[in-house]
Amino acid sequence: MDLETVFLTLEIMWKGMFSIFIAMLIIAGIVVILQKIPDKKENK
Amino acid sequence: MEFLLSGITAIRWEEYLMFLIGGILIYLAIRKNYEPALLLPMGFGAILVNLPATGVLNQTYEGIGNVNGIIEWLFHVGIETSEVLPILLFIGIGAMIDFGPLLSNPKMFLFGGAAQFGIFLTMTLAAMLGFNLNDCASIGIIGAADGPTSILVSQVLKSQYIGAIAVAAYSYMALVPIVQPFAIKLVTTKKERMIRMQYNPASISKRARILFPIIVTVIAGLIAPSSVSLVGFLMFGNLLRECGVLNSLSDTAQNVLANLITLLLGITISFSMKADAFVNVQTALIMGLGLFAFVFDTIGGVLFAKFLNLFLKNKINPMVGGAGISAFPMSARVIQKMGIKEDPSNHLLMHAVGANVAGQIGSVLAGGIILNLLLH
Repeated sequence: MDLETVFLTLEIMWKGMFSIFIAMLIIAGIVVILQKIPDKKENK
Repeated sequence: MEFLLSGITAIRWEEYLMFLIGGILIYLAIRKNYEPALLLPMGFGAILVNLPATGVLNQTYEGIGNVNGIIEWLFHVGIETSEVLPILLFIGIGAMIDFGPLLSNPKMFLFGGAAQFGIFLTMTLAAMLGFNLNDCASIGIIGAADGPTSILVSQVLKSQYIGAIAVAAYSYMALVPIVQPFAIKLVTTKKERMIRMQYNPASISKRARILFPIIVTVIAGLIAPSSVSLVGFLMFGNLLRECGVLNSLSDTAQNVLANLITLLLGITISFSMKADAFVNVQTALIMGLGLFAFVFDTIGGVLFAKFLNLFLKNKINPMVGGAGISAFPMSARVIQKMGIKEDPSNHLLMHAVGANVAGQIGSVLAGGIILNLLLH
């Protein structure tokens, strides 16, 4: 077991999970805005 | 008569074991219907590549020189050089996905993120077992529960265990109906599994459905540039589906392209199932680590839902968090079934589908973020 590698994976864990959460939060926030976009009205 | 027996006498016990493993994969594919589109070609390919002096791998003949073998060529062109096979498959997968249940219920995005926890925890466990960093990441990505992502990440990181990783990823995806209920019951009570959730979906316009894949690609590209090939091609396929003017291309992507690539991908991956590379203690460890990844993906999603419930008035059924893994639609069906088993009138399917679809994005993002962190 290489302790340095273990600590590196822990660093990747917090950076990775944090990045995923931030990305998902941003996308979810944009989706909330997208929900307000209406469909194009049909020409009568 | 020696020339007839030279093939048989050249087979070692390791190759016989690979013939058995190939046979087991074929059996699981046909009799048990475990991911047959991948396990059957992989099983058959395992037999092909382990026959002595097999013509499917490059061979050097006296007086002739080097002769290319088809499976080795497919691996070199389709995976080693540019990862083209898994990336093109993403176009088909993106074209198959309906993001509607997720777009109308965006809080499910969070579970698509939380349920990737098992990837990173498995990386740490693999490091404790002595694997180097690139192999740790390649093994951890089994938890993405997504075959193309697992193959792509392990290839880019030049892992020597790509065969075992692919077998583990596809096998455990097929075993989700067994693995997930076990993991969920470990961390939930019956009362929690009976929580009812209202389903009040917002309506989503066609414009929103068209803008979504473009926006996701840009955001993923800004946060993790290495994820653009994965996320970009997934979203390209989805855009083909949602734009409404390319129905024939969308149809081709979902059917012909996806089937063609799947057909070639399984047999190509078998290149890494040669006995010398596959029959070792590390392969057995990787199988165990793959199971660990799936279990802790599920537990990560469930515990996150329980954490959110501390602050929410309208509670979330924690099982829905477990649906945030990328095994679509199997995981959503498992959650629906578990919900009905606890309370026959409690239908969690649409919530679970939203989380499951979010998991598709989450897993691809996880793969890209891992590549970004390791390569930069």
